[in-house]
Amino acid sequence: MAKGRPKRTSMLDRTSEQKQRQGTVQELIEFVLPGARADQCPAWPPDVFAVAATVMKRNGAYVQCVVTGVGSSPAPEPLFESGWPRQATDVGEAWRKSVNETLKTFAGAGKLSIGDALKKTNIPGAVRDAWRIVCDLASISLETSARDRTLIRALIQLSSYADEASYGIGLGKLGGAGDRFGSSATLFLQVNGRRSFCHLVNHQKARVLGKKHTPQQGLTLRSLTHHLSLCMPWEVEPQWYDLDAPRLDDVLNFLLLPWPLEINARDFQCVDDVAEGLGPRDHRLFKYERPPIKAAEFRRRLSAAIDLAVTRVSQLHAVVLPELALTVEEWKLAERIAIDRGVMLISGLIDDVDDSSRLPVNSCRIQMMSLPSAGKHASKLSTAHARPPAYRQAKHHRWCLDRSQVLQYDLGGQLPAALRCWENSHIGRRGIFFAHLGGWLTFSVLICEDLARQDPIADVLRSVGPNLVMALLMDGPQLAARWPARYASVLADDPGTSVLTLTSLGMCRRSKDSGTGKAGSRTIALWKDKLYGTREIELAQGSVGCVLSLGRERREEFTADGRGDGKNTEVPVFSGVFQL
Amino acid sequence: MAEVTGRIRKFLFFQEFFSSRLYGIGVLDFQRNWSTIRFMSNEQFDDMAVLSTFARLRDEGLLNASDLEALREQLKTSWGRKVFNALRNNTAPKPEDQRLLERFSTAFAA
Repeated sequence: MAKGRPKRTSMLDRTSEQKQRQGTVQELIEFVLPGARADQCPAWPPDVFAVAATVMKRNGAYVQCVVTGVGSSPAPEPLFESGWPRQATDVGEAWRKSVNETLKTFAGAGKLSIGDALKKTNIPGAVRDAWRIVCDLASISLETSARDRTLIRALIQLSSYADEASYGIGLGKLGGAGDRFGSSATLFLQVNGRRSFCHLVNHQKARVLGKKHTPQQGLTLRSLTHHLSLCMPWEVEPQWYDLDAPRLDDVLNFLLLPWPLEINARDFQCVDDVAEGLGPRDHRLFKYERPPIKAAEFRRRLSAAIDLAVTRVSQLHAVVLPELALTVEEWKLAERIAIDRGVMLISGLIDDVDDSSRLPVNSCRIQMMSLPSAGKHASKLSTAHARPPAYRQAKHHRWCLDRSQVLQYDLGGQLPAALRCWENSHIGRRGIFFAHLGGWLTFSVLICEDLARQDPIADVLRSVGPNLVMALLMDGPQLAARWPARYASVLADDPGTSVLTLTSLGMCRRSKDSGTGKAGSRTIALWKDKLYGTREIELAQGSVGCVLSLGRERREEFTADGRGDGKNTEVPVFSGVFQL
Repeated sequence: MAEVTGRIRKFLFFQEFFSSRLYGIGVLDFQRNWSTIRFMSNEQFDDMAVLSTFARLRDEGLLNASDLEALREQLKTSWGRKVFNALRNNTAPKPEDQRLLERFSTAFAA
């Protein structure tokens, strides 16, 4: 190789190098959708959304969808003219129609696969134009891309068109009979392991899920869509289940059983053998274990509670118990009763074990299949022949009992108040499920700490915005001034999720008020919805549980670019409590 | 008393053993294995989601061989694969499976 004076780089070269170091929009698009080309706009709306939203999530350009301030200097021109919402809806509808017609013509037995058929879609010109603009301008750096109004406009257009085209995605058969778009979406969801509705975009690069709430406060990327949510493929594995049966009506009745009704301090114990190898004793591990209830007695108590509940309401939909409420054996008994009675069952488990490591894990289980179906077997499942599988979710964060909590729950005789005592629960792969059932309810379950420690789950939870989150707690009284209410308020404000928190009466009564030092509260649950605010739910003396009645209210939500959802947002709201 | 308890246990064992022979492999068998290891995974739940998608696509005439294979690859349990094969061959699932699947999707409702 000939030696010579080092080549001097020109200003242009330096700028180019700098741009490359910063990363360009093109690189990001290429990462999300390898081989993306200006003349080949993806036909599947969630794919287009994944690309546009990922770029906007990175450069923050979406904030320009509205004029956010006026002053002495001239305000920037709005990105969109006044007729934009109508235009976006029309383009989205045309796209959906085109996808449906293409699938009807080309996909099916003896024809093409859904993926191949989609390539023949006649994509609306407005979508293709916006896609071409994005690809043509993509050579600019990510940093400067947030100032390019033409690019920003095209990105928001793509996001909104894809959103309008994806109406009702993941929400049963909202698109009506023969809606091949919805059916194709479920195929892609399954192929992606229930993590994303995308077809071309790999779920390890970006995930697109359905959505129930559009935040009406603040301005984030989530403010831009009604039907699609971008979930970055970070550590939390979302799982979306779309159960299109059974149908739920406008009234839901949940039986809240704050069991155990009493908790003995001796149920909390240090786990010495495990803690030995952990070095200096500045912390310990603890476990919670209570004596099991005899099977016959447990069956009698649960059946009696349900019997009592159905004297107050004609249809009971769910039985909900708090964190660490049941042993695995009790869960099995409870599950059989729930199946016999045709009600959903949700409960935290005490003695569950992680699948892979065989270590103890604090988990919850959700039995949804016990609800009656719409078919000819609408009456009940026979437990003699089939026990439907329940969904299982592990807790993401361990409970840490510090000095203040050891004193609060009067556990100083069992746990060292001078040390931090961590719950002996294995933390594995973190996941969260979103179940859409009954035509309008999309719900998730969180376990205690997972409501308070919002990282890493908050991003996914807020993106999807389920209309109900149930938080199963092992906590003190559910007062409006305490932490569960604060975090419930955060979710109720943004994205607008209704939240139910439930603790055991035993733990509630153990908790001493920090001011007065008195224990014995009976406020076992708290309800929070964005329309009517907070409700503390107290268990009356002598009651073993209570029925929480919820109603469904429809509200219209708007995206930041001014598109309404036609009053299709469904909010579960508080409708009453009946003591048992 | 101990003798009576022993006889009851023996009877229950034989009943369970022969019922699996009489009725073949179904959800019940899956549940049995499941209960012996004391914890559950979400595999069967996931399989029900796959099967419900299968039924929905089939009802809408969207099923193509390669999509069918893509769905089949997602199944995690032998139960799921057996039900899938039955559905693919237009054989009615066992009644207990049918009842379960109806809970997941109206596409299974007869």
